[in-house]
Amino acid sequence: METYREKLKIQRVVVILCICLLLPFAFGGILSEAGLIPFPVPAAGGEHWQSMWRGFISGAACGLSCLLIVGLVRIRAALSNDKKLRQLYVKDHDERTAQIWTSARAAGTQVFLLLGLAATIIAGYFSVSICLTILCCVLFLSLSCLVCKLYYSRKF
Amino acid sequence: MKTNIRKLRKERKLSQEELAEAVGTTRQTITSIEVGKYTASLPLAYKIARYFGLTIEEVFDFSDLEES
Repeated sequence: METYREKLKIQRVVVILCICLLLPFAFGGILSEAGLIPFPVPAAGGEHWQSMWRGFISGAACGLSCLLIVGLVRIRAALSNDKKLRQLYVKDHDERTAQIWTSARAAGTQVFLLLGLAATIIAGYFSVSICLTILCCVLFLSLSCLVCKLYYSRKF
Repeated sequence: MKTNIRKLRKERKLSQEELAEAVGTTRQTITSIEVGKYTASLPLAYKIARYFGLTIEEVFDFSDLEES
């Protein structure tokens, strides 16, 4: 349990650093939209796209920050209370939950690959760029799966 | 996989929550093992058997494996 406590302490530092990195993006997008500060936006796409980009970056940073803050609250609560620490340990190390996630990821990847291939074929009739983009995504995911499979074949 | 966990628990008047806490897992995992939806790993099976003071074979039913 002490090892887990030390791991949580390191996680706490990492989470705080991540929140500190994300908050400038979260507020930067909002303040930039109001014209108060400059914010790096893509040169192409026009004013409408640049505004949408600022909103996207700001929204993503806000969402991630909120998730990290919730995580930080859980870590702080666990570190200050032994009962909560044990509960979090059991939750984090539950083998059934781990298996559910492993199965869900594997099934999700297979569904994505099959639907991606179908989407590639359908998109081929309408747009070359969309077809090639989806094809690249499917190929990249297939290669990632293959590399991971080779890695785990050697590991186990 | 069939198990005797529910029977052993009832004999000792233990709740799923108490057993889960004793062996370091969640109540949902104990429920799934009891109804046969999930097969416990070897370390968890060992912990459960040791908690009841029995061997793994006395807690878990391996007859299906022997038949195949």
